[in-house]
Amino acid sequence: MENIPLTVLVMSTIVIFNILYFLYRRIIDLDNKLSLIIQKIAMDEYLNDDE
Amino acid sequence: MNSAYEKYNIHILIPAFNEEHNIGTLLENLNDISIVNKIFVLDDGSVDETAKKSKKNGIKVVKHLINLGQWTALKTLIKISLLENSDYIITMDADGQHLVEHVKQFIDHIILDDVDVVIGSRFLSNDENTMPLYRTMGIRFFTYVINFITGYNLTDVTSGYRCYKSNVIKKILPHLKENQYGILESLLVCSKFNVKIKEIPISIVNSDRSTKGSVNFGIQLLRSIIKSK
Repeated sequence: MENIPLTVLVMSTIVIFNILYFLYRRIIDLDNKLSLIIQKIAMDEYLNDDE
Repeated sequence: MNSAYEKYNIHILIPAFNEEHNIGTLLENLNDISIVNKIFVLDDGSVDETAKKSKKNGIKVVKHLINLGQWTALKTLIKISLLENSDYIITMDADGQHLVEHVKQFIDHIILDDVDVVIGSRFLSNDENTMPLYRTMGIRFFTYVINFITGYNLTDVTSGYRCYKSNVIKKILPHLKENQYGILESLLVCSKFNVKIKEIPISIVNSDRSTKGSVNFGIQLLRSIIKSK
């Protein structure tokens, strides 16, 4: 561990943090898209229901 | 219907999640309010008989396949209500906390006082406060924060019993991003559009039945404010 230069450690932490943040954003985006799809299904179902 | 209200299309929106024990009574009471044109219930992925109980009261239920959160449910209902040409939209909780007797007061105030949104405040009424202390303090804290940010002078920012002018909610709807904790975000968006808000006193029943007021609820509200700013 003590052989790893500090710069490498900091850089890899930043890279890992960025990857995790990217993945987090992707999950949020997908979640929002899923919400919109379910909302649309609900609205279509309601508006096309002649009952 | 009372002739003074005939020209207005008044809708009530109720997002519901596992509320089979409360939704029936609420809808029965609402069916007696003659000024309301339509009542919309959204079953937000309930695993109980919420939808069935609503249909029993003659309500056409909107259904989310899975639970998406109270504010996503409200957004779906608002979109449908706007498509059905509402003039005024009243939002209520499905847990039976909100008394239907206030519906007419909401409409009277939004029309006569020429405001865009009317919020029912639990702290303006003379009723004894039955909420747990930590919850009252939490609401007071968030009310202070929202008033500080927006410049409004409100007393109960977490009240879900509200009446909106449809043209106003149409304007703010695209800016509402929260799925579950949108109650404060909606006020922040309102302030950006200079929406005029008024509060009226309301009474509530069985406030201890609400699931709101937990530590997590508070944290999420705080997060929603930071995200919206």
